[in-house]
This record gives sequence, structure tokens and C-alpha cells, in this order.
Amino acid sequence: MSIAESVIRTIEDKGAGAFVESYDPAEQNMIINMGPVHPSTHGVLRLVLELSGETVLDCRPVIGYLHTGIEKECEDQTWRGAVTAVTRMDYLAPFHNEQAYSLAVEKLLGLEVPPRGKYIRTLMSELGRLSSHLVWFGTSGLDMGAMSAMFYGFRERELFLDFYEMVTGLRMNHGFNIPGGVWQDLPEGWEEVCDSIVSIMPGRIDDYESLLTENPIWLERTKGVGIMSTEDAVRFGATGPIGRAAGLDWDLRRDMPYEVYGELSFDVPVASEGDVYARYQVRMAEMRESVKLVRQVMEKMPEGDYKNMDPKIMPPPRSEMNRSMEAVIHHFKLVTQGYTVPAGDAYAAVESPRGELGAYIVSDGGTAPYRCHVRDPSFINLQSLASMAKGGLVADLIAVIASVDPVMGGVDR
Amino acid sequence: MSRSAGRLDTTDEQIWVEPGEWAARALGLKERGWTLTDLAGLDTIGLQGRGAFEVVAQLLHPELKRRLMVHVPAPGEPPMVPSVADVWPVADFPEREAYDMFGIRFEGHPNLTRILMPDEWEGYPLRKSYGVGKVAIEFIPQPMMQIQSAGQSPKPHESDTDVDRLGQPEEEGIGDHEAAMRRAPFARAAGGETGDDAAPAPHLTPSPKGEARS
Repeated sequence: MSIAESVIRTIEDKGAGAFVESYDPAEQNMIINMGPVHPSTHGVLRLVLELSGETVLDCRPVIGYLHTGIEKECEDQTWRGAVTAVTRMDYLAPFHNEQAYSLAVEKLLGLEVPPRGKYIRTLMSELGRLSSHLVWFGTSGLDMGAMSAMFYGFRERELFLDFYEMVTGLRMNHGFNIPGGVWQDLPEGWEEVCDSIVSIMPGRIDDYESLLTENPIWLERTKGVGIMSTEDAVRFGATGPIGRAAGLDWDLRRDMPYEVYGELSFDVPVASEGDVYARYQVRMAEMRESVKLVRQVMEKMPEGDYKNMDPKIMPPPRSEMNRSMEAVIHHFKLVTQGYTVPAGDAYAAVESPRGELGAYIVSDGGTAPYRCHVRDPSFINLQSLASMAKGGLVADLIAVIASVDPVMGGVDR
Repeated sequence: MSRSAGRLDTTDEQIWVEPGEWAARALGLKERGWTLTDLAGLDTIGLQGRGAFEVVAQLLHPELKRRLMVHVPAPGEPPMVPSVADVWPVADFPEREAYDMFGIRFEGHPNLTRILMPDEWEGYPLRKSYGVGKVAIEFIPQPMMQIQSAGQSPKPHESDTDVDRLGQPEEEGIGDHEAAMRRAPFARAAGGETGDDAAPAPHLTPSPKGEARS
């Protein structure tokens, strides 16, 4: 029997109560299905809930509805081509996916990225954090009835997407950070556009705060809701803003610096309450820190190469190919078969807007990744959802999901 | 903690742990402050000097700010390793993923079921033996469609002969050569039009019209 037939049969047999999976009148508990197609599950997250009246007794995430086999796909690509696949995992943080993957491949290659390349990566990574948090701000506001939050969040996100298009050619899934540097140099006039964004943002973040921070309805919906203790955050491996909101003072950018974060000064916002409101505060403060970081990166942006010019890894510039046979040969080899990576395995992690995003890369010495595993923060963070939801109301669960900010493209990969 | 020499050359600190010792080692590592950040399966069939499967765990020591990569070989079929989900509860989902993708059984895992693939899925997609594009696609036989003239919508081929499951006529010599050519692009490429010495495909009995064309 096909799935469609079984669904139809269930509805015919049980009528309007088809979505209730079991009901025990003696205990007054029921197991109910939420999602995968539900406006507040942020994609295709399905939750099986055990309820007693309106109280959530247990909550089990059921995932895989967006599984597209990207890890398998990577094994069929060249080292350079797999960037195009990994960028589609966490689609709200494409720069961070590419960055983690590229760092791991560079580790295996022993490849150095020139300073300008590192600064460009950091710039895009921090802008990516801002634009990702704007989506979180908009959607979580919408989930809790503050519809204007969505309009403001997505209005500002458009500025970022326009800048990405200017720099990378694409609004999403850029494939911009590649092993050895970035795909191309920043275009002319990037400073003005970037400067206009970071000049606007602090005022806009003030606007958001004036909209929600002291809003009594918002406080009612978020304060003391979905509490996660520091112990639970450690046990379930929660990282990123939800870990920091629970008092877990850990940020890879500060504690295990990669790229140029060691040369920049910034604060890591931490809260101790562990509720939805604390996560809101942490993310808001993080947005302000990211604006500061972008400013610093703009000031310090060095001149020079934006990628490692090793001709065995990077195709030569077009101008060189007109006069050098050597360059033509390198170009031909890189286009037809790609480069090889010494056998071995490496793990590299970056701090994505949702937590530690790591790439575990194995090479057998060939021209394609032997294995490309990505530790996606949303996937790991979903495990702590049950600990936050237990004992709360169903309506609070909506607030909790919004505050975890899972991206199902990353969860299911 | 010694790094196994001569096996792999990277800058990551790596150790190899026998599967029988993994649960006890994990407990010892946890007591010394190591936390688990990630766990992945690995099909090592294509890597020299390794077994068939491995579980690779990424550990992090937040105070020392160090990482450690732990390789645990998973011998046998199905491959078996002890679960560390009771040591580090964060291992729950990653172990289920490794089971789902590689068929590695984690002994002692509280709920070892498929996590990303549907429950009734057969096979383990990230194994090297599970090739891309090797999943059979059902081909449903359909009646031949033929365009009679320009501007006319396609209609079923008027023929009393049956078509086989690829839509090819089972009888020889039906229709004109043109239609047969259209139905058999591979046969055409193989020698239908190449020259006199090329043998025509067996089911392409050329009609007079077809001969005139060649």
C-alpha cells in the first residue's frame, strides 16, 4: 500500500481525529503529530508529542524529510566541485558551510590562504551571521504573533542578499569560499555598499529592540519559557546562541580562533537564564558584535592576493594563459580532472550562526573527497529540544522551536 | 595519548581505539573533561591497511582547547561497536545517522532506528557498495505515441502488435523505417546508417522507403 493510500485509509477509518495517533482516556494522555508541514516548524521538522491536556510530556523530533544525500553527492565531485554541494546544506549560512569544508581541505593540502582571502572570508562570514539572525528574528517574531518583526527582518536581509549578489554573483548558495581562498576578489565599490549596510544596522537593531525587548506580550511569551540548564546544554551538545543563552561560555571564534578572529576584538554575549528570552537577548547582542566585527574587517582589509596562487590548485588567471603554455596545461588539468589531495583525514570547525559547524573530510589521495561529513549545529541542537519542551505548553513549544532556529536543510543534509 | 605513526598524516591529533575498549575509554575520557562534538561512520574499504568500517568521533576539551579524533574500527557484518550514548547523550543522533547510512550497529543504543532515510528503506546509502544511480527505477510500459503530421497532437500508435516494457514493438517489420528509427536511437547509432558493411539491427528490417533513404 502506498503512503498516499494508507493516509486516505486512515482518514476514512478515523475521520477528523486521524492526526491523533493514540488516545488513552484513563490517563488523559495523547500522542499527537505536529508537522512536517506546519508553518511554525521552520521547514519540514516533524514532532511527535505526548500531551496531557495542553502540557507537553515528551517531544520526539522526526527528521529526514529534506534528506538529499549531499554527503554522498560530494563523493562524486572534485574537491573544488564539492563546495557547490556543501553550500546547500545549511542554506541560511552558506558561507559557513563552505568555510568549514575549505578549512578541512586546506588542512589536508597544507595550503595557506593569503591574508586578504582570510579577511574576505571573515567579512562574508560575519555578514552571513547577521543575515541569518535576521531570518531568525523575523520568523520567531511571526511565530509569536509579532508580524511586523518579519517585515523588518526580511527588509534588512534584502540589503545583505544584494551585497552577496554583488560579491559572489548569487543571493544564496554562493560557492564562494573555496579551498585556497575565495572565488574572486571583492568588486569595485564594495566598501560603499558594505559601509551603508553596517551604518544602517545598529539603528535598525535598536528599532527591533524597541519593538520587542520590553513588549509585554513578547515577555509573556518568552520569559521563563523553554528553560535549558547549563548541564543539559553540555549533555546534549548544544552550541551557538542556545548554548550561550544557557550559560555555556563557549565561542569557537574566541576560544579556538580560525581565519583572522585572533586579530579582532569582540565580546561573546552570554546569558544564564537559558529561556527563550535569553536566546533572544544573546542573538540581538551577537548582531551588534557582528556589526563591530564587519567594521574592523573593513578597516584592516589588506591588499594582495585573495587566493593561494599555487598553479597546481588554482587555475591560472586568464591573462597568463594567453602567453604561457605552462598555464594552459595547468588550466587543462584542473578543469578536466581537478587536483589531488594527500591521503588522510581532517576535521575543521567554524562558529556558524547556529553553533559549531564542522567538516570531517577523508581523502584517499584522489581527485574527489572519499568522505565528506558535516557536523551540522541544527542537527545536534535538535536533540536538546525535548529537554526544553518538557513540562511546557504546546503554545510554548512554538516559541522554543523558533528560539532553537533549526534549518532543516542542515539537519537532513 | 600517542598519535598512531605512519597511518595518516594530518595535523589533527588522532588515536585508534579497539571496539572492545571503546566504552571504557570513552568513560575515562569523559572523566578527564573531554566532550563529544561529532561522530560519523566511515566506509574504509577504499583506504589501504584499514578494516571495512570505522566510527570516527571528534572530541573536544573545552578547558585545554584541544581536539582529539578517535577512530574505532567496526568489525564484522553487520559492523558492531559499543554505543557511547550513555556516556555522552549527544551521541544519540549521530550514532543513529551512522547506523542509517552505514549499517553500523551500536550495541546498547537506546533507540537505534533509521533517522534520515524512511524506516522501510533497504540498504545503507553511504556505503561505497551503494553506488550513485544504482537504485532501480521502475519503468512502466506505455503505448507508443506517434505524431501523424505537423500540428497534430500525439495519439496512440495504431497497431495491433504489442509493445514490450521499453515501448519497443515486439514484432518486426511494423510501421515504416522512419518510425522504427525513431523508436531505436541506440540501434541507429550502432550501425543503422553508417554504411553498407554495417549490419542493421535485427529488428530493423528496412522497408523499401527506408532503403531509398539510405
